[in-house]
Amino acid sequence: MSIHELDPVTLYGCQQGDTKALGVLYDCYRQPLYYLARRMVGAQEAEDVCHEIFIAVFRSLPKFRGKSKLSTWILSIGTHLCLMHLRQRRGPAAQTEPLESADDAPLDTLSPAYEVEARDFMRRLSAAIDTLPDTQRLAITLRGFQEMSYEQVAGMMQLSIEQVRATLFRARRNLIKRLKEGS
Amino acid sequence: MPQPAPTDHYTPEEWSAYADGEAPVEQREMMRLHAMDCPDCAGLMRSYKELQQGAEDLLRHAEPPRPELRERVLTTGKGAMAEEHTRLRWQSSIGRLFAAVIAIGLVIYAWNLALSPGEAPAVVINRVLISRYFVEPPSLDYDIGIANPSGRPVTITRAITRDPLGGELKDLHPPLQISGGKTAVHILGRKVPESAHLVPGTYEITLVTSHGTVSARTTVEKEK
Repeated sequence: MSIHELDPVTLYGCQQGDTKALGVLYDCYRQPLYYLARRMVGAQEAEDVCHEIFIAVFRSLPKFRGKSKLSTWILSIGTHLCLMHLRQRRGPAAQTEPLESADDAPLDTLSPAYEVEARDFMRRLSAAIDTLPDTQRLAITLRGFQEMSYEQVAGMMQLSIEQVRATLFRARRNLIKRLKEGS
Repeated sequence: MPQPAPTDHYTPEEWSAYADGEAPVEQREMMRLHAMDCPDCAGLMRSYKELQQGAEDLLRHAEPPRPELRERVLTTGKGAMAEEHTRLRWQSSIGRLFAAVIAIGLVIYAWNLALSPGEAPAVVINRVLISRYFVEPPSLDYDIGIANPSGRPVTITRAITRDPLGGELKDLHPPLQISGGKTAVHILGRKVPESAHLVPGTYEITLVTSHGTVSARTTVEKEK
């Protein structure tokens, strides 16, 4: 899913605090930001975190100078706040995730049965994503925004491109494993 | 980096990047050719693509937030933005005020530097003596030391002496220059009668300088 960009006039209106323009911005970004929050902090707190992200976006809008795309900038704020929220919830001790070597990964593939049961596959995939470690879950979620390159994901997650590549791979390997376990 | 032949397997991580369209450009075609002949690698690539497609579909079909959130965000957000605008205006005003204060300070400093006389030099009389020459009349010499502690050069234009043998106001041609932070010794003399002797009393010298007027005195106890 690609995210729409606001036209410059609406963006200017937002920066001036125009309610109508802010409403357009909300409508444009509510879905991706709510999805990001829901994926990262869970359904119960998603709405509060989504609210918090929008307020942070509104507060920072007067300082937005267009050096990146608005959608990238907004998602960066969302990513940062979701990670902050998870850190507060879990404490600093839970930050490190075990690093797995990519070399010893088995050549695991999805069974063709998933192609048939699309609805079931989506439900299972969603549940499997929820069980991933934070970093892998975030990487998979951000990659879900179709036009998000490794470089953009790396910028948002403050990782190198190589780390993003490895994280996405580990996430997918774990997803395949969990989808197979659950079948 | 050497490229594997189309028959070599690529790593699962490389297929994951390939599925994202992020494999190195020079490797993509080799990988595509390899996948055509390798069911294992083709299966991996297909799985990763399905997962990526699945992640995109999940987002596409994600539930929107409750409609109440819109009102909540816009109401709180407007207030937050108003606060932010006020804060930025204040910040900007304080910044401008600060810049103005700095600018005024700099102007005053430059003005003072250009117009102020600066720190006056210090002068001491090392000794006074009467020098006698073979053909010329004797002269009463003030052997003085001058220190210029200021950071700028000082110019001495006039010397006034006053002592028991009389006195003199003498304009210095050329003026005496002393660089900033330097010291100098100088002998200022004036002609006195052949019969003159250094009589007891106070010998005083005043120098008119570009940084103000300075004086020094010394006492002669007995006649020489």
